[in-house]
Amino acid sequence: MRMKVTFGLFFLALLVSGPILRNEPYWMHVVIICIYSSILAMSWLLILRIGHLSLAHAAFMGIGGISSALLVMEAGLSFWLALPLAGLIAAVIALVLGFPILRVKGIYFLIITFAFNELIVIVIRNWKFLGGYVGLIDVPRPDAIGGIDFSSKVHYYYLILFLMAVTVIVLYRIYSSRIGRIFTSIGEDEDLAQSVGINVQRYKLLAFAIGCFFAGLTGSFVVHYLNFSGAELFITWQSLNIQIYAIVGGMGYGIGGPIVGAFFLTLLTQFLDIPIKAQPLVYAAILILVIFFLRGGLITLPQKVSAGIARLSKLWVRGPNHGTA
Amino acid sequence: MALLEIKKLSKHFGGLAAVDKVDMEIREGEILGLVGPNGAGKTTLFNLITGFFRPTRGKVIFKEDDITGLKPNQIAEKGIVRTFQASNALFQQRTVWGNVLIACHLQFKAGFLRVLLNTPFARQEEEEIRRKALEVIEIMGLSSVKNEYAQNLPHGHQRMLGVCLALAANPELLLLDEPVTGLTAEETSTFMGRVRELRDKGITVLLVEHNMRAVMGTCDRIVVLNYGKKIAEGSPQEIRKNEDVIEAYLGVEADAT
Repeated sequence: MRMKVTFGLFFLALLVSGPILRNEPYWMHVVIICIYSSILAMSWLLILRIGHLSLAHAAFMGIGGISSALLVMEAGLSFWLALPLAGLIAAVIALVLGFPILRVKGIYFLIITFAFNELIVIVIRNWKFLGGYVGLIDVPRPDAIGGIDFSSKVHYYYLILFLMAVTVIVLYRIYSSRIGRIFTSIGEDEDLAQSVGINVQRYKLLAFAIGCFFAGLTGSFVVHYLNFSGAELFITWQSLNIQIYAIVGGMGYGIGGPIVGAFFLTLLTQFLDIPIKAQPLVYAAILILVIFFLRGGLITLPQKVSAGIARLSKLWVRGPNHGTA
Repeated sequence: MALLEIKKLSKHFGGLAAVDKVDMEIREGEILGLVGPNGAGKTTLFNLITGFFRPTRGKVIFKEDDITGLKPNQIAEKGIVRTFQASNALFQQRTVWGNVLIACHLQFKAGFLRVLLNTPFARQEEEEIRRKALEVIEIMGLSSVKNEYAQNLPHGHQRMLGVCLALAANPELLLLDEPVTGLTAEETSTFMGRVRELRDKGITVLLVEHNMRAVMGTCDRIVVLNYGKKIAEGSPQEIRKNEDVIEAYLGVEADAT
């Protein structure tokens, strides 16, 4: 526990001081992608807690992103209002969609959310108002606030870091309280949870809406950061990526796992300079390796390694001859 | 006085009437046994009372309140809580204490926001209910294994934990679905002793059971089902002598053994 806190604080300090250590636009861009990917993966994992594997997370990111772009460009709202509204709109749509579909489980839920993501992409591509094939271009940067005018990547960096902090705090409060307990119990045994009086449908809707809220929020950030919103940002493959981040990082750890996974995979593809078309191949290879050799995810690696060292050193002290005799 | 009344309750699966126009009442403070051969419709009746199935026809009335068609969690809120036949119907990856804590759900008052903001009220409530959960564990004699994971418990303890979960939801009417299946004779008699203690504390019990000896020794009254129909009702002595019952159930079992 103490090591976890120490490590978390160290990581936080590193992130906060990142731009001071290395203020290059390219690196800022990479770490911004890492951070928003980890928000997406964390919020996706919250939905998995209630036993539902959603393949529509990128669609909800899209719903948030396009809502936000249109609210600013068409309705003339300030970005600072459009950002939370984007999350809320995604959450409301999650409630409407979740009402019928959270009743079905397993493979059926997976297929429905897959279809929903495809549907959203088709709608975006075929409706000029939402961007069409070209996408929405010149999505404005956030309005200046207290001298910060979002002319530099550092400003975006601290904005997304702030959003990540909010996500971590909210999820931490959920997981360490009764609400998280209820969510996981539903994922473990729905009938049993219901038999002791838990309103399963209501808590499922709550988890789904909170998860999608953060996806919408991230979507808003992404389109204003890229100054662009296009269907290819929200394709189903993105939903799969989000899921791979969480699995590779470690699904047993609601917050640490997705962060580790998102940072590791994003940084890896940048370090190795892997072309975007080959990225699925690399992700798939790593996914398979992790599933076979490190089921708990990368976050359990230090534990596994220290356990291995302990075993080895025991062998060393006793000496190999005693061991086999 | 009737705590629960079942009126002409039927459940059809396609052409099959799993429960067929059953009339029955459970009186306050009794242990009512529900017996019958395999496929007699006992578990279906159970699922109808607790809302896991919707009846095709008929009514379920609890304390003069029509509860037909309510959802399982709403019925639990009214005070009817069940256990499951499968002994692994537990939160397997949690400790005994963790299991019971979830089952205490109905006792919590603090809503989502208060829990999220960790207000003093929410904190205090959590502590209070953690204590209460320990009491329930104590009643069922599981104190010594309270930090064990449910999946690692021996079968007998898992059965007890199943009842713990139901008790934590504060039932007025407790429905036990074949609770002593797979238990030794000794464990069964301990278990039945606990059930009688619960009755003495004011909890009414409906007991579905295959084990005739356990039923005869524990229940105040017995209802016998066969092919979805009620064929007899009465005290254990009356049931033992009932011709229909002997033919439908005891006779078959006597042949088998």
